Amino acid sequence: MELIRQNLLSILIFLPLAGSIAVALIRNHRAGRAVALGTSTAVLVLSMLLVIPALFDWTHAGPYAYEQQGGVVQLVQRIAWIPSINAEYLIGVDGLSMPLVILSALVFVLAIVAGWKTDKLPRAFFSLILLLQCGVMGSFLALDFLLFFVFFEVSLLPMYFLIGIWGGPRREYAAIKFFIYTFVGSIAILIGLIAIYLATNSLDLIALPEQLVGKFSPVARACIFFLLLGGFLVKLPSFPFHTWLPDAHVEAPTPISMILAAVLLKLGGYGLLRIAIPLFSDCAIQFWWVMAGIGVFTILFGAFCALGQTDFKRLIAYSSVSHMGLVLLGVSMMTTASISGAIFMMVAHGITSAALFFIVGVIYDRVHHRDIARMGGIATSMPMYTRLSALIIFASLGLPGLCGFVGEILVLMGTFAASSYGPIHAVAPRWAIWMFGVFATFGIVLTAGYMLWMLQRVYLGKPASDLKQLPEIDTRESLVLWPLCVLAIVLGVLPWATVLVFSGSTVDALLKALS
Amino acid sequence: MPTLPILIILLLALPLCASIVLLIFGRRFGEPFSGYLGTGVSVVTYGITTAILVTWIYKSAMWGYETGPYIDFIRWLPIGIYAGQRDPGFLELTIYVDSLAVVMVSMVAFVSALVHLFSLGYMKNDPRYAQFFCYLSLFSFCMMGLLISGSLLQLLIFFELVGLCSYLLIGFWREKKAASAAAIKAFVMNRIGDVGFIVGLGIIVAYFGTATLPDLWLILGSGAGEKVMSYGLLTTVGVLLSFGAFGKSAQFPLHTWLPDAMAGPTPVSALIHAATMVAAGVFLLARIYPILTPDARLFVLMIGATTILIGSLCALAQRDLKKALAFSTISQLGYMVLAIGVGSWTGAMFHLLTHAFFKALLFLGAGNVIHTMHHDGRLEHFGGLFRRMPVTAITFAIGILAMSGAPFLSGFFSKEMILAHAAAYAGLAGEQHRTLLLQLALWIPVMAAYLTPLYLTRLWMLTFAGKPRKRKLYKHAGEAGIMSFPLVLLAGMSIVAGYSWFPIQSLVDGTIRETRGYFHAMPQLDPARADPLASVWPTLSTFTETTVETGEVAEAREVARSPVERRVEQGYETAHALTGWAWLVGIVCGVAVWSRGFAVTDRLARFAPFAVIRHCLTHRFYFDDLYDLVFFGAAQIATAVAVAIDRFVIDPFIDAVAKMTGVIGRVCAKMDDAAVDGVVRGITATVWQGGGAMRLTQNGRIRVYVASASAIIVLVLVAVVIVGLVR
Repeated sequence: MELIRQNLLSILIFLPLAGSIAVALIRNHRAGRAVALGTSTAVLVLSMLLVIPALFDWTHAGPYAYEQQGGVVQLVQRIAWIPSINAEYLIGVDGLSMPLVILSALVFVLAIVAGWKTDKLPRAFFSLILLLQCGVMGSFLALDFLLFFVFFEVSLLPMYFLIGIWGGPRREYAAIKFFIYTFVGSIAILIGLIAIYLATNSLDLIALPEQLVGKFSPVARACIFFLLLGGFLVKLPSFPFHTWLPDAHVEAPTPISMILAAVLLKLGGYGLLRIAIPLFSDCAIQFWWVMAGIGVFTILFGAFCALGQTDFKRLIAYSSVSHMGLVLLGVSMMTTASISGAIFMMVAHGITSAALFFIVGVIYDRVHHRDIARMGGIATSMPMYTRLSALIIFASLGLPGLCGFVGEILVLMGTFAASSYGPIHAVAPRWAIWMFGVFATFGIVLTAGYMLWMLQRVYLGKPASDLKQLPEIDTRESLVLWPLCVLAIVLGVLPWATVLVFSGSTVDALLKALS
Repeated sequence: MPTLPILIILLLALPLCASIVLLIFGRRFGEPFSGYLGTGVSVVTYGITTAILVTWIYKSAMWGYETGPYIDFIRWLPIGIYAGQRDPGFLELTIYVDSLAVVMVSMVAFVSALVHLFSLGYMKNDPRYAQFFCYLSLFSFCMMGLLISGSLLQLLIFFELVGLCSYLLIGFWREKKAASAAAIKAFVMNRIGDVGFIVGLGIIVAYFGTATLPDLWLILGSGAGEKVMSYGLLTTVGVLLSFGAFGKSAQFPLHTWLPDAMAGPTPVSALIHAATMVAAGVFLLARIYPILTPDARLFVLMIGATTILIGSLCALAQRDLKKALAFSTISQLGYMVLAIGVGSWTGAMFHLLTHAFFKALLFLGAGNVIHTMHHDGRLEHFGGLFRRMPVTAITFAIGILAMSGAPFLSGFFSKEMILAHAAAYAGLAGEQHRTLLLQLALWIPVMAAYLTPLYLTRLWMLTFAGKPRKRKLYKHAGEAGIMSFPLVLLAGMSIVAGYSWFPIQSLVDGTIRETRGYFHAMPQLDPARADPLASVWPTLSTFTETTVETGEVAEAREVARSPVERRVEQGYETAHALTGWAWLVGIVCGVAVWSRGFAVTDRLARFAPFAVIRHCLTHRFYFDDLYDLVFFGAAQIATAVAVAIDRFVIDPFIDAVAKMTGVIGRVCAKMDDAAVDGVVRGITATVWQGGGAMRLTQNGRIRVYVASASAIIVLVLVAVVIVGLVR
C-alpha cells in the first residue's frame, strides 16, 4: 500500500503507456479493447485514491508535501533526468492538477466506451488513445518545465493521428491545422522555456517563481510572458487562435472529440495557472486587461459564432470556445473566487462538453448527418435521450443546481470582487473591471439563446418522417451519459465538497505568491 | 423550536421527491395514478404549510413578533473575501423564514394544490400527463426554495430554477413551434433581467463581501454602508438588482414574454404566470427594499407606472381570453411595483397575496372555458356560455369584482392601500414643488382603477353573455366537478382574504415588527440607528389600530403620529374620493359597450382614429416587433460578422501562412538543388540506400506508425529511468 502511495503518480502516468503497448501487441481486437478499457478503468480507480482524506490531507501539509510554497504540492517524486541541464523527473499533485487528473481519468474511460464499436483499425485506435492519456496525465502531473513540455508534445502526436486517420471527410486538413496551430504554440512555449532556463539554470516549476525575480529586463519579461500566454491561448483556445477547434471537432470521431474538449483544452488553462501566471506574476498583473479583454471578447465572439452555426458539432465546438473565454477571464482577474471559478469551470466544462459531444455522436450514429436544419422532434422517439441531453444542455448554459452555474457565478463574482480585492484593484480603475464583468455577464444571455435554440431545433417540434423511428439509446450509450449527468448535478449542488475543497489551498498559495 | 426546521425541510423535500419519482416512474404509473401522486403530495405540502402557519401564529401570539425570523446559514461558495461575520470567505445559502415567507408559502401551496386538482381534469388524456405533474411538483419545490431565501445568491439560484420550470411548462406542448418559441423567449427575457441582477450582486459582493440579506440590511440600514459606497452607486446597484424583478414580473421593458407564455397549458398560466412565479419579482423587490435608495425607488416607481399603463390599455383590445388576462396580470404587477416605488411595502405584499387568489380564479375559470371549447381561446368563438357553465361564470364574476376593487372583497382593501400611498407620495411631491410628472404616480393607477373593471367586464360579457358565436363548440360545452371545485374555493378566498381577521394582513404587518425585533437584538448596533427600516416601512397597524380607538387614546396617538402617517391617512381619503366608485363605473360601461358582442366596438372602428388605437393596442404597441427588429437584428448582424471573421479573415490568413511556408520551402529546395547539391551529391548515394531501408517503415500502415511512435517514446523513457538509476 505504501509502495502504491509513493509511486501513485508515476503509475497514473505510465500505466496507460503500458496499456498502449499491450494493446498494440495483442493480436485479438476484442481482447485489445478490453485491455484498453481495463487499463483506463484501473487508472480511474487509482486516481480516485487521491480524494481519500485519510491518505492525502488536502487542507494541510501532508507527509510527502513539497517543502516550499505552503506545502500544497503532494506526492512529490524527484529523480534526476538530464543532469547536464538540471532537468529532473519531478512530479507532484496539488489542488490545481488533482481535479483535472480525475476528470481526465474519467473522460478517457468514457471515451473508450463511446468508441467501443470503432471498426477501423481498432487496436491502433485504442492504443493511441492510451498513449494520449499518458501524455495528458504526464502534463498535469509534471512539475519540471521540460518534463511538462515533453508530455505536452506527447499528447499532441496521437491526437494528430487520431483525427487524421479516424476523422471525417476533411480529416487531413483538420489534422494538419490542429497540428500546426498547436505546434506553433508549443514553439512559443519552448522559446520561453529556453529563455527561462538560460536565466536561472533551473526548470523546477515550484522554485522558478522565486528564482525568476529580477532576472530579466521588464521588456524581456513581458516578451516571455506573452510567448507563454500565446502558447497556452492556442491550446485553450481563445480568439484569435481558436479556428483549429471547430474544424478538429467536426472531423474527429466522437470519442476523440470528447477527449479533445474535455481534457486537452484544459491543458491551456492549466498551463496558464501553473506556468505563465506564477512565473511572471508582475506581467500578469500589468497586462491583466489584455487577458481579460481577450477572455471577454472570446466569450461573446464564441457565443455569436455558435448562434450562426448549422452544424450540430460546430455549434458545440464554438460553445466550448465561449466557455473557455470565461476561464481566461477568471484566470486574469486573480481573486480567490475568479481563480476557483476558472478551475471549477474547467472541470464543469469537461463534464458538459464530453457529454455534449457524445450526444452529437449518438444522433450522428442514427441519422448520419449533423445538419440541425434537418433535425427536429427527436424527443418523440428518444425520450430518455432527450431528458439526459436537456439536463446537459442546461448544465452547459449555467442553470443553478448544475455544474455550469458554479463556475460561471464564481468567475463573475470574482471579476467584480477584483475591483476591491486581489492584485488587480491596485492597478486598475473600478469601472474598467466592472465593464469586463458586465460584458461577460451578457454572455449568459447569448449562451441561453443558442443552447435553447439548438434544443428547440433538434429535439422539439414534430418529427420528420425519417426521424420517427429512431432507436432509443442502448445500455452502452447510457453508461457514458449517466455518469456525466450525475456528476453535473453533484458538482452543481455540492461545489465545495467536490472540487473547491481540494483546490482551495492551492488557490490561496497561488494568490499569496502573487501579492 | 425543533418542529419548524423539520417542517421546512419537509416542505422542500416532498415536492422535490415527488418530481423525481414522477420523472423516473411517471410513464410506468400511467394516467390517473401519477396525477393522484402529484396532487396528493401538493395537498400534503399545503398541510405542512398550514402547520408552519399555525406554529408561527402560535409563536407570535406567545412571544410577540419581536422574537424575529427563523434564520439558518449554509456555507456554499468560497469567494475568499473575509468581510462577513459568520462564515468568513463564503457566500451563503440562507433559510430565512419570517411572517412574509410563511404567508407566501401558504398561499403558493394553496394555489398549487388547487391547480393540481384542476389539472386532473384539464390534462386528462394528454400523452405527457405524468410529465406535467412532474414539472408542477418541481415548480412547487423551486418556488418554496425561493420564498425562504435569505441571500441574494439563493434568490438568483431559485429565480433561474423557477425560470426553468416556466420554460418547461410554457413549451409543454413541444410539437407546437409557437409554444417552444415562447418558452425560449421567456427564458431569455428573464436572463436579460438576471444580467442586471448578477451585476448588482457582483458590485455588492465586491463592496461588502456578503450576499446575505439580513447582513446587507444591517450594513446599509445602519448607515455603515454609506461610508463605503456612494449614494449614486447604491442607487445604481438598487436599479440593477431591480432588473431581476422586472424580468420575472414582466415589467416594462421586459414584459413581452408574458402574453406569449400563454401558449402553455392554462393551469400553468394560473399557477406560474399569474399567481406565484411572476409575483416572485415583487417579492424580490420587497426583500431588497431596504437596499433601495429613494432615487432607486423612483426608478422602480416609473417602471411600475409605465407597466400599469401598457398592461391595462393592451388588455382592452386582446382578441384572446388568456392574453387579455395576461395583460391584466402585467398591469396588476405594475401596481405592486409602483407600490414598492411609493414606499408602500405592506401594500405591495398585501396586493400580491390577494391578487394571487383572484387571478388564479380568473385563469382557472378561463381554463374551464378553453377546455370545454377544445383549446380555443379566441373571444370571437365564445358567447352565451353562462347557461352552460354557471359555476364558472359566477365565480369568474366574483373574481372580476374582487380585482376591480368592489367593496368588501379582498381587492378593495389591498388596492386602496396602494392608491392611498400613491396619493400620499404625490401629495408630498406636490408640497416639495417637485416635477409635475410625479403626480402621475397617482393619476396612472387611478386611471387603471377605472380601466380594470372595464376590460374584465369585457371578457365576461364576451364569454358568458350574449348569444353563442360558435354553435358547434357551444353545443358540447359544460363544466366538470373536479374543475369547478377549485374555482369555488378560490372565489371564497377572493372574498375573505382582505379582512383584518384573516391571517394575511396581520402577518404581512408582523414581518416589519419581526425585522425590527431582529435588528434590535443585534448587540453590535448603535441603538440610535438600530431601526433601519422605521423610516421606510410605514406599517399597516398604525391605521388599523387607530380605527377602533376612541377618546383620549386616539388623541394621544394623533399627536404621536408622524407626518408620513398623517399624509397617508389623507391619501386614503383622496383614494376614496377618486376611485371609490371606479369599479361600478367600469362595470356599467363594460356592460353597455360589450352587451352585444363586438357590435359596438366594430362600429366604432369605422371611425379611423379609433381603429388606429385599437390596432395599436391589439398589437401590444408593437413592442414585440420592435424588439425583434432591433435586438434580434443586432444579434443576427453580430453573428454574421463573427462567423465571417472566422471564415474570411482568420482562416484564410492561416491558410496563406501555410501556403507561404510551402513556397519558401520550395524556393529553399531549389537553392539547395542548385548550389549545395553538387557538393552533397556524392553523399546522396549513400543516403539513398539508407532511405530505401527507411521507406519500408513508411508503408502507410497505421499499426507500424503507432508501434514505432510508442517504441520511440518507450525508449526515451527507458533511457530516462536508466540515467536516473545510474545517478
